[in-house]
Amino acid sequence: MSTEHNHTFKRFDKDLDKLRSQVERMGNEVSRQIDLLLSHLQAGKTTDYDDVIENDMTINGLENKANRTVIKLLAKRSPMGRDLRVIIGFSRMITDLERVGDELVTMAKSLADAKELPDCFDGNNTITLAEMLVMAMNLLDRALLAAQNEDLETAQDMLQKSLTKQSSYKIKLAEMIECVKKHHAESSNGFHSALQTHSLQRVCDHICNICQHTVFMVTGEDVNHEED
Amino acid sequence: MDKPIMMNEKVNFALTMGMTDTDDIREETDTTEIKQMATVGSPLLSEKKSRMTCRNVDVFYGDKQAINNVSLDVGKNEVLAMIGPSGCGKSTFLRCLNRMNDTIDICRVEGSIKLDGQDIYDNSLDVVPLRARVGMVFQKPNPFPKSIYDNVAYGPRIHGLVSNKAETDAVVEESLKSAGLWEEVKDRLDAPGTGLSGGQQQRLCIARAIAVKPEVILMDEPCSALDPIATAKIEELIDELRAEFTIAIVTHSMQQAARVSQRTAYFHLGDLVEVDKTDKIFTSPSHQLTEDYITGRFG
Repeated sequence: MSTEHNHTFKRFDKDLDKLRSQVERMGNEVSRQIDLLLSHLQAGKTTDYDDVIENDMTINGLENKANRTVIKLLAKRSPMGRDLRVIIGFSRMITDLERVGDELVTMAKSLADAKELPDCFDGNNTITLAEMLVMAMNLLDRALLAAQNEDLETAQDMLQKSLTKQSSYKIKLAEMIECVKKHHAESSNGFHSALQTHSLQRVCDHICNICQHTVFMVTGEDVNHEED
Repeated sequence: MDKPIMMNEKVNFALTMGMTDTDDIREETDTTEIKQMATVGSPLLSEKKSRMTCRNVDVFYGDKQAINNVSLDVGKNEVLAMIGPSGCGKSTFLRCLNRMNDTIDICRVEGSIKLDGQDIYDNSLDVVPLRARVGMVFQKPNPFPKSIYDNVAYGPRIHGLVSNKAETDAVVEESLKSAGLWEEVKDRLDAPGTGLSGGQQQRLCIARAIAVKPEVILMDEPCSALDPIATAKIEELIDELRAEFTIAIVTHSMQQAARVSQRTAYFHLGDLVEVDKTDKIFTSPSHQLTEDYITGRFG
């Protein structure tokens, strides 16, 4: 609605731009983490995921900085209307991005701990895990771009298509979960397999949240838990 | 010693309660760009909920139109905030609600404004009791140059609401308590009202307004001259008074409007642009002009 107009008080625009760029940088870092995890997986590494774990500190640091910007904006600018929604929306996204980072660390630790890749993820199924990460990365990038551009159409499209139970991501994830249940419930790698699928599910949930926050930013409508 | 109140007492009381500077009003009201627009949101309430009903109100200063076809209800036991840039007509509209604009020769009000179904612009209606029913608190505290006690007792006395000292004492105490001032002044009721701090003077003016048992209290930027603590006390008071009275408040502080009101009306160049629940106005307004104003993008 009014993003084309600048605030009369120019510092407000600068502070908002700062928050926007901090969230963007945080999103890029999280996306890079997925990419890193993926490259280890594709290279067949099963023991050294330390860089993924260490990089999470960067994401945590960015979260702290962005949260401080949110607090400053709320305290100094007393935002109203769309400004308020944008700040609250970004604040929620910051939390979601940090948690995606945590899930990636969980996956990295699990893959490092597993003596071998779970059977389910061997052969074709290994590619399935990589595919899931590629899909997650694409979904995350798209959701973040929609957030940055306050692109309601894309965010709604993702919520209605790309992130539903009928989406290819969710269908593949469901297949993986079935596979884990069927073949790995009793195996030594069952625990790790369950962790992987759980984290993939959580990553998808957080991407879904990011799209919902974008809808809130633009329309003021809380669409959280609508599917529930 | 308190100065005596000169002039006809009823006239003086009405004028003091509604002292206006005609020139200021005319200067503040930019009427050059008025174009009628439809109000967004919910300006009207059901008959059951409504205390004051305003329909198609136009206000003119000479040949210049300051308010353009405004229809708006003020509900029972609600605080209605009126916001908008300087010159938008919010204070002019507020002053229509107790005919305070009558004191301005060149001002003409058209349309219908009713209090509990009674047309307040009916020629047969006496404005003095009207202004007791629809009290007013101004930007700058304006206590009478009399004692704290007399400031509060004055209205009930001239309106015949009290007949003896005991009754007057009771009304003074009750009003000062309602205004949150009793504990601070109960031991110095004979001290001049003008000797109180700005915040206390404003609460004294509120006590003075509620002493005559109004149905509606109009507040025109009541905290703009006060520090944050005094402002917080007035806002707390407004919240408490809502249980008993209908309150319409004009404020330039959007945070204040957000804190104290249940509904907010946004005025722009004499038009009522949008009226809605305060939560909605300040988080997700429907009209672009409202959005631009509350986010500081106006102009």
